[in-house]
Amino acid sequence: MSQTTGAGTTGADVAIDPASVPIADAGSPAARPRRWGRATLGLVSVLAGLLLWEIAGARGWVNRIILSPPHEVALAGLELARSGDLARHVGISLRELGVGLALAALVGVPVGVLAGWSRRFSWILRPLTAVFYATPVIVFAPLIVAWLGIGFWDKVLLVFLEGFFQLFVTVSAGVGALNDAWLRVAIAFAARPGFTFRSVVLPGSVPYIVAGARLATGRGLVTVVVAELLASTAGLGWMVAYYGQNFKTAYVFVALVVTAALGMLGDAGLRRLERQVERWRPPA
Amino acid sequence: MLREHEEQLWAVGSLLTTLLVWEGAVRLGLIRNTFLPPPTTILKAAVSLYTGGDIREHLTASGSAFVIGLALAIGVGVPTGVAIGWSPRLDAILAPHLAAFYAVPKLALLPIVIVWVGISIWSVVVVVFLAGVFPIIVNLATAVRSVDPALMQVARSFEASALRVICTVVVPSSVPFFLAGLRLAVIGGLVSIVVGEMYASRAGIGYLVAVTGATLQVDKMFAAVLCLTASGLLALWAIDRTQRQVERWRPPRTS
Repeated sequence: MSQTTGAGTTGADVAIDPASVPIADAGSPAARPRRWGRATLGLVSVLAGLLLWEIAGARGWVNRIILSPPHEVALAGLELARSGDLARHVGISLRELGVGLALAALVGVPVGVLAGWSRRFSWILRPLTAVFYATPVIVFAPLIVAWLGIGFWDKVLLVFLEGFFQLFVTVSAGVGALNDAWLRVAIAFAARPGFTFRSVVLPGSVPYIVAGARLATGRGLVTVVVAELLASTAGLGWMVAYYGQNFKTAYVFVALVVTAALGMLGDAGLRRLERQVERWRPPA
Repeated sequence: MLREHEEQLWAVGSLLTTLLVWEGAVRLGLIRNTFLPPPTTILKAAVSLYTGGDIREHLTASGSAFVIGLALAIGVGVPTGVAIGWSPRLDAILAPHLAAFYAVPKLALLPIVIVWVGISIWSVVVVVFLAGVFPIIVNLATAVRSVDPALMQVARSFEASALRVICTVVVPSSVPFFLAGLRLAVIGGLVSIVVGEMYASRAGIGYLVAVTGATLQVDKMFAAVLCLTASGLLALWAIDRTQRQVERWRPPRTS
């Protein structure tokens, strides 16, 4: 329960993902299939799904424009990979994402730490962030395009805004809830605020920074793709829009699969980092 | 008195200062009016938008797409989630497919959805549905798995049928999970409405935002965004309130 409500209050639509739900803990031990049974069932189900999809396309049960069969998607993927188009578009999307996230971290982390550290500072920022937090950042896409033109920096700005709020909210909430005992020890030893900040607050904020970065990366990727979908000349979102409008559904699926894979990869990497950052910490 | 309300004073003060600085910066010509009009102009645009009745058509379009999409997501998501949580075998079969779908940004499916259903309210309904159905499925499945084992044992000792157990034990204890999933679905649905309508539509709040934003009618755009933010806050407030009310009757958990 705590997991679900926690995700709800951060307001993140990506906060609960199946990977973090302990699926294997279901029911009584006798009622659940054994480990290999579960894996086999999953594998068989995936293969059966692909086979059904392929047959449906070959037999003409579904129009190929509506749902390209898997082998066509694979061929389209090979073609895009061989021509270098795929690498080019992925590179552009990743550069937009990377620059946007870097700027978001540069601003969001210090502001978040400060807001968690100083109550007054958080009171000043709260109404402003609350208004923005309730508004999906992507609504500003048309305006930002009108300001900056269609290109690189309009996507960077959107990713920056999305990433900034994720980092700010996670980091400030985390730092605000830092273990009181540590802070009281620092006060008891008459540590100067500067020392306390460096030795308690900063190290304590690292896990929240990583957690915020994970949320920001996931949402940032979606933001880049959607922004490219709406207005762009290159990138993964552009591929989806362009091939979609030309009814080349297999190519659309390639772009979607690559986007999903990038998202999963980034998430897995940051999740790992999250665990590593947590490892040195003694139990509270 | 001052100390008691210090937080509110700082919050209101910062909000007012921001608005004043914004207004001042535009009036003094530091920001171009066409790029970012001052708050008073936006307020005027908002008033004329709401009193003029233009907004009604867009609100109806967005609202009905949102409600239909969310209703479909609940109608499909709840039974699917309960079934997955109930049967480990079904879970094993569906888990890889769900994980794959979960990883795909649902909004990126828009061009394909349009190929499927055409540009109409239904393309927006489908993306709202897709954004909402997965959090509901995942939360309901988790809910069913985390039903108090003591209650399940009691039901089993009295030889209650599966249907009876689902109706009297599983569903009542799943409500908080359902509401948490619904909250995520609403947040995702709002973004989907906007993007779906911005990408391709002829009416709706997202359409209004896209048209006014792209043509630098920034005051009208902000007025439309305000409307969106307000509806989002209202929906979330309603869910949070229900969440608290539902929680009130619940006896403390025995385990």
